Amino acid sequence: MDKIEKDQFQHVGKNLEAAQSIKRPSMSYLQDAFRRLKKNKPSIISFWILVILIIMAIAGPIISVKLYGHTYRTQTLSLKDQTFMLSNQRSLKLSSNSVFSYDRYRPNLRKTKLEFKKVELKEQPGKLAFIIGDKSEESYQGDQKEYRIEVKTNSTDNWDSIIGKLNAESERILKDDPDFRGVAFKKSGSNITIETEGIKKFNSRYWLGTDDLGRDLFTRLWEGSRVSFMIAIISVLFTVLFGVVYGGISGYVGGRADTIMMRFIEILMVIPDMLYIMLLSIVLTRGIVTITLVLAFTSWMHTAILVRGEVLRLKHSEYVLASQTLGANAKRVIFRHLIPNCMGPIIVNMTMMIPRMIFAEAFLSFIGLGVPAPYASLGVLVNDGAKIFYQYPHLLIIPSIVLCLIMLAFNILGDGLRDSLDPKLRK
Amino acid sequence: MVKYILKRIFYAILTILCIATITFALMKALPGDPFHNEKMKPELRQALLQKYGLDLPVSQQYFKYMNNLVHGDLGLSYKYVNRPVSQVIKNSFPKSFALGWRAMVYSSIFGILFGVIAALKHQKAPDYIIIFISIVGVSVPSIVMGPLLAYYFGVNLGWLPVTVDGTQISMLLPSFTLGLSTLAFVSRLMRSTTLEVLGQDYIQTAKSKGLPTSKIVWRHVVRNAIMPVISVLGPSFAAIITGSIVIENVFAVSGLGGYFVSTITDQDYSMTMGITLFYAVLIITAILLVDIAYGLVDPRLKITSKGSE
Repeated sequence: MDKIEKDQFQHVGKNLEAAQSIKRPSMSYLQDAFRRLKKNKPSIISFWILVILIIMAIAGPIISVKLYGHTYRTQTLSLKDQTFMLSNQRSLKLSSNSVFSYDRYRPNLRKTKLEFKKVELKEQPGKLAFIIGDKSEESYQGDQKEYRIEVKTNSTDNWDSIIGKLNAESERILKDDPDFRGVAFKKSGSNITIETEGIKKFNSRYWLGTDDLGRDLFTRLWEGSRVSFMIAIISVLFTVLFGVVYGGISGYVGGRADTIMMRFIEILMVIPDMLYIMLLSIVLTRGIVTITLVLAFTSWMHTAILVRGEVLRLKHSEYVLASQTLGANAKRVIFRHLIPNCMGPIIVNMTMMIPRMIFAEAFLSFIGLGVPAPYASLGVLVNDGAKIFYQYPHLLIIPSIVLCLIMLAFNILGDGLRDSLDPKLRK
Repeated sequence: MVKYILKRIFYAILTILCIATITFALMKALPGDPFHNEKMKPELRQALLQKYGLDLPVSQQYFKYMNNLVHGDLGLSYKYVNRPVSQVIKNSFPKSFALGWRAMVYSSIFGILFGVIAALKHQKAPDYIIIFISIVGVSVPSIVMGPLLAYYFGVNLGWLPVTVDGTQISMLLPSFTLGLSTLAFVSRLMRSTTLEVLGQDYIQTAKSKGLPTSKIVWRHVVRNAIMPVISVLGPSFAAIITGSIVIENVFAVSGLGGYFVSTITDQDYSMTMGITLFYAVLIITAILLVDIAYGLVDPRLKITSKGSE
């Protein structure tokens, strides 16, 4: 290898301007955190789901008032228990059967379709009759007609001929009266399916159906989400406000005041929060404001402990000392310097607390201490739905989906925020 | 150590006294008195007030209440004549407990198991599945999960009974629903503590000594990672107790939780308060016991408490 001579090098000098120039924009802590959050796909998806849900919670009730004049409390009893599909199929009832035996019998929700499982023919002449339509079924059919299909079988009949007879009978009635709309008898394997015919269409007036009092579920769902969101967000704001003040003072002042304040919190924390949420809700008058206050009052302790810890960690920093030297009083140091610097954990805490509040509200409503009747909240809707769940599953399932989505989205977003706000995880 | 335990017991007693006082104050703060009825004759009303000791001055009522409490007497129902609260608890709590301990046992065992598996298979399929289960378990409230499971398994498939009649199989659905959130919580915590332990130097040492994986996991990882999980068993117990209020209502268990809800709708407030107090004492005792056990088991705590003395 050649020897490197000194004259091979050339001095280029210093370019002071280039050395001083800032190539990339500087990033604040929150900007950096936000940049990392954007890389976390589940969090971003949850964020947009929440945005959509909040927009719907605000706009949903307005839309249905403007379009149809539904509010969360308007009742139309004659239109109760609708689902999101409307059909003018007639209901169906087995009125007499000495033709076949079966293992299980399953009607669908509105009894427009009957299923007999594991049917077996009896080897004797018999009679098979169905009653179609019901005189009390005004809300779906618009008329109150009742028909009867009856066939007689003899011992030579097999399934094909019986079904043929039934179909022929139903055609005969249809020819006499087109309002009958027809019935279809089908056999597949050892199962028999019988379904009345009719036109199915989307329920354009009640998009998600109605509940057992004839109130629009769509309106109540978004009205309920709005109430739930409001209770959760306002109570979390109160919680954080109180927790930050309490924790900030306790951490900053320190000494005996800190010990006493923390002992007080310890005692409060041992009391299971659900229990005294319940106690307070029993004593106070029921209402949305009460629930918000009760929830806020019973959950500020975690925030206070968190803020105290952060303040203890930060209060010996140089900027605090500088501020104190310049004559800032405790109030200014706590609220202008310390609290803004522990915003990260506070934000995560808030995000994780919102689903807990929504759950607490739902819990209270479930045991009958929540939002009072005509008002809706997600807990009220789930509770009402759970009562008549076997007959009308949509009344439970739809509010449950929204409730779960909100809780899931807040939990995932909170996880993502915690990861992205944690400086230790910075890459 | 003894000092620590005594301190904890002292605080627990103080808390229970606080709760009892709050309960008493709330009872007094209830609007109206329980026998307010315009049709009632004044003599009858007076007799009723006397029977329940409500004609005494408030301070005397308080001391009488506290005295009764210490002797395990939680008072009488305002709604049903001669039905003491303690009798109701004695009759219905065993049914709740039958569900509660099952939920507690299965959720902690499976939670720990899931957590370890997830951590060992970090960022692989089992990990993601377990994270998903735990997020769902935390996010789907029992008031939703209960009816859905009851409908699907009980009605639609017809595999499991929906109401509890005391047989083992009928307890499956309610205990499962009851323990789900604890399962999710425990498995999440166990996963993070196991991950932490796996990164420690002594695990590296154990591996380089050539120990088999099973031995490393059971002797070194789980034993160290399980400690924080034990400390949350107390609060988990509280969650299961309060959770059973909902579950028993959904599955029609005639336990204390189901009864509790009916006292609220009946506006039988003396009963509500009495049962709440019972729950509070139960939970506080459980948390206290778990904390003391934790202090006894964890060698690190012993060393630090010795060092500080």
